[in-house]
Amino acid sequence: MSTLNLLVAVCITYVLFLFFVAFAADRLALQGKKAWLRSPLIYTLSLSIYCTAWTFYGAVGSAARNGFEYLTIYLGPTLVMISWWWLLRKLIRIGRTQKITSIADLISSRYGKSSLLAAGVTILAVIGTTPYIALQLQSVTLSFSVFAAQSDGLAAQDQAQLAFWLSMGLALFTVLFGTRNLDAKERHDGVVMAIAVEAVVKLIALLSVGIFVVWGVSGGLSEALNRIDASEFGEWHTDRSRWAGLIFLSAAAFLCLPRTFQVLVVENDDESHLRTASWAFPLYLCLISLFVVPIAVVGLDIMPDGSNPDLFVLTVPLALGENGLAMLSFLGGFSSATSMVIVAAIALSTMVSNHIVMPIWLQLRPRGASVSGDVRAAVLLARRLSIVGVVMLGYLYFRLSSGGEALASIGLVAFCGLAQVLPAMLGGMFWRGATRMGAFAGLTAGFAIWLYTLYLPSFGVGTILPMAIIDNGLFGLEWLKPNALFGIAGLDQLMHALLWSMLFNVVAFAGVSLITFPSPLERLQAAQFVNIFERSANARSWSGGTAQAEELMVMAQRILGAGEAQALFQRHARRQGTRGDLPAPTPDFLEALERELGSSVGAATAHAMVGQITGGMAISVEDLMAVADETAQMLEYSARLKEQSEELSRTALELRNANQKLTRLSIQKDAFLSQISHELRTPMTSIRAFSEILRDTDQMNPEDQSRYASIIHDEAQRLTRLLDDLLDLSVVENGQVNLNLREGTLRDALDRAVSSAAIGEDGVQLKIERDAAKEEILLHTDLDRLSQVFINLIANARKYCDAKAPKLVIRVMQDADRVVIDFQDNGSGIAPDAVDMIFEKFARVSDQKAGGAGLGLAICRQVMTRLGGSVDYVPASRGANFRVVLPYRTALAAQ
Amino acid sequence: MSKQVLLIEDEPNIIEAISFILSRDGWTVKTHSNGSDAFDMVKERKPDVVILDVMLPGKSGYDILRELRDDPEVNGMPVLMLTARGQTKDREIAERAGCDAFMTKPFSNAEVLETVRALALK
Amino acid sequence: MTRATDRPGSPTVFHERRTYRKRRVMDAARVTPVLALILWIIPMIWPQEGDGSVSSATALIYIFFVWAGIILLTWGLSRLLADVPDESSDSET
Repeated sequence: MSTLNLLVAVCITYVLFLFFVAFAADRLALQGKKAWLRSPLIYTLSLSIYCTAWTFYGAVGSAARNGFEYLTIYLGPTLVMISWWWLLRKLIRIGRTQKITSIADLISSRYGKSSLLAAGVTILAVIGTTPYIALQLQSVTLSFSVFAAQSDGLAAQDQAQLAFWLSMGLALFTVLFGTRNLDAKERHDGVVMAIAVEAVVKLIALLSVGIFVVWGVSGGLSEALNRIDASEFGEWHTDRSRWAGLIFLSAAAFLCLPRTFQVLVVENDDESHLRTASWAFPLYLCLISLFVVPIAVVGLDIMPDGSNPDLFVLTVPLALGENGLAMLSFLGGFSSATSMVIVAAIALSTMVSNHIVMPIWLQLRPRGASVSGDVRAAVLLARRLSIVGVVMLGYLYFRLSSGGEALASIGLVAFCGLAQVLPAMLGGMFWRGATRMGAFAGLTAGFAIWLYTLYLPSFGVGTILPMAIIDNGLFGLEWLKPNALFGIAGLDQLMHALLWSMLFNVVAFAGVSLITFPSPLERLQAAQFVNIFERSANARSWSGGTAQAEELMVMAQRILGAGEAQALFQRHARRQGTRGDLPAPTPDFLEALERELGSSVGAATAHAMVGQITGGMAISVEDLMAVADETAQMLEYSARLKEQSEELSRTALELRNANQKLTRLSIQKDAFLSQISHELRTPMTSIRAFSEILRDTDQMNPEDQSRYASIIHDEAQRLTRLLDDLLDLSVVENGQVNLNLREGTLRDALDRAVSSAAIGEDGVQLKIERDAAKEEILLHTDLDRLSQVFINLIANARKYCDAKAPKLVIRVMQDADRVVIDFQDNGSGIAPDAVDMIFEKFARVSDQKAGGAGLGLAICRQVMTRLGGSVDYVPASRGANFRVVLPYRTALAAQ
Repeated sequence: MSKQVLLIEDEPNIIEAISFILSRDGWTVKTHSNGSDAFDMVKERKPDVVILDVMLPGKSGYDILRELRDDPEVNGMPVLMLTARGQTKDREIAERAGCDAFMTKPFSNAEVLETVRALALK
Repeated sequence: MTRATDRPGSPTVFHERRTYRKRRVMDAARVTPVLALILWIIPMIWPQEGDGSVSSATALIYIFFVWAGIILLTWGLSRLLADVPDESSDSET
């Protein structure tokens, strides 16, 4: 029992270590140290998710049983990897630009964002992957029992318990590190890092056993080769059809398995990593398979007859007394199993929650109403539950199949099932004529044949498919026998299923595609996918219609989080050239928004959500016209034309706006000239009048004399102030100002401003509310200029706030990349039509005499632009609200 | 009894200057610095001369002048308009509104005195 | 135009030659998988019984040598393709 205890201890330690690695990687990623977390090396290692326990243990077993056939499982992916230039690069580029979250999402997105297709692929993936997860659990329990066999053996009950706790642990790990971010496009740094570590453990374990077997047992390379020739392997002997078929199958599976798609496409951070992986991953595969045959040969040699060749990697070192090596090898197998379960669970849960749970959830809600409730929380919950569900499904499958021999062959059965996605996937990438109906037909045909000829029979004769069908065919029709369709018997069962399912899949896919006509959205997506490298046209799927920017904003905030959604909307508002935070719901913007949402909840769901708000699932007339053109050139040309005409109309709109503004400005400027004249002449009048009085009056008492002199003095100063303001503005405007950059806290700057501006010359005090703690932000900027801006804003509030008890609230907020300072008073605010004028020079909102020339805010804006920030008027529920924004680089972290 | 001038102006310094100049010359100077009730003030005081600034809080000088001209009780009252806006169109508006004299700030003290005297003789 | 080609050192010629080389490297990258597939399909035509059958060790060495060669080739090509801009890559077919 002590070995077993040791084993459990090692397992737990190893798992804790993985938790630590994932946790540390996530922490590093949070701190922005992503450089080496996302290196080509890590990417390459994470691809080794392809090599599960089935290949770790099973390769030797397969070699012992079927000779060299095991190599095909590694040759296929190698072929895929070296096709990176024309295949993977395109796939990854599509994945990145379309924000693809899973293989189901890819298919759905390509074929017009079809929810049905996505759900179909998801179901296929779940059916294909569940047994595979069970297989991993089985491999771990089997390897445990090998060690246990040395002491008292492992009861079936214990095995079940072991599998249960293992799956619980893996589900926990996956929930913890796999659903930290909602955005599936935000990489799971922790998980990927853990997978990479496990990849190294796998490789080292297998290489160590191999080296031990070749140099330790066989006595050198040439002896080992002689031993191979002398063994049952003897001469090259392999089933030719299986050799070719399995190379194709493993290549297809490498592209289509949810877990490999997850690391290959979804977790890919940088296309250039592919360049390294293109040769490094084949190298990894080559090394993994290098020692398989020597281990198999030695195992067949020294192990007693009837021992399970699947476990040679463990039993050979054990039999030779190398307990340490056996332990390492056990960890390698354990790594293979756990990493597969984790990534498969993440990939499947993304699919299940995006393509099954969310669409149903959306369907259940009343149409037309804007999205209510916290969608973000709902999606996360759906994803977490899906993870637990997927892992538990695997566990149940393991229990129900009672870990029988049937499981061993399930690997290739699953490969064959998932390979059914390949025609739709490659067709979608390279053939613009592929349609949704075609993809649906191909998938259905391939899936049905696979189910009937391979999957159901794999449970064993008589378990699901009755004996009668196997013997006599469906409905007693000879040509429908599951292992000899159309009377072609004698083929290997796997090859038989692969041949017929692929044949029908491809024929149905191509045939139906040729005779059906795609919807406009499909055709646009087709152009995007196939011509991904010449992206000139965007898929235009939304007419602006009645979309409400606010409602979209509310929904986006719930899914993306407030900060990110605001940043996205602001970015687009700026790109459109509109003032304020909300962009107009142009097709461009809706498309971008949808893609952004799609990376969280999947393309089809995002499409539906945006559709609910915009109310227009329809395609715009322009889109239809664009699609009506037959050839790609025409499509792109018209798209470009449309873009240009949009550009033109946008420019025209801007010009119209500018013209209106100019007209208003010219009126304003006239008014200003009067105003400035008034401002200059008023003090001059007093000066002139009193200086004449002083000059012309002979006997004046000294009291009056000095009072008049001081009036002259005050008015002269008032003139100077005005001139200063004018000069200041022109200096700041022309960019001649030298910034006096230094460090200080925001609090000091505000303190200074408050003390000099809160009490007016008339003694009226403005009540100011602040939160000193939040103002402790270290700034590196021109503090004098910044204070000048604050003084202006505070003085404005004092002068213009019309509340009975004027009060100004200064609120400081910190974002990831900026500091926001709001100045909100409790007055009646600024009339909406005056808002866009207040920052113009010489503008004054009212005729009220407030002592300024209307230059203050214009100067503020210029100063803030110089400082790299901005000052804006933000409409608030009540009162006037000015917002000063400082960029992050001027604000240094306080701690 | 000395003649009365009503000065409607909102800049305290200018009020003080004009009051000083005119009272030294023997005028009684009443002042008012709000536009909205300036008309009532004129009707109440019935001064010999009104000095009216254009930019007043509440109501512009032009509007007050028009009201005065429309009211038969006070429509003959001599009015001197002051403005700090120096453009010719300001003078035109003032003349159309019916002022008797128009002065642009800054003015010379002697000029003000002369004009007021001339207006009082009308 | 002829003048430009007369002088081998002139920048236009150099540029064209570079582009030409890049294009051929891309072609090579596209062909590599086909080459690998052919080389790995060859074992299918080896005689499996009787005279001339290939020993297991030889077969193993053959497959792994092809593997190593392909890895080296891909490595080399990936280095040559490091600085290829996206636009030119697929426009030529």
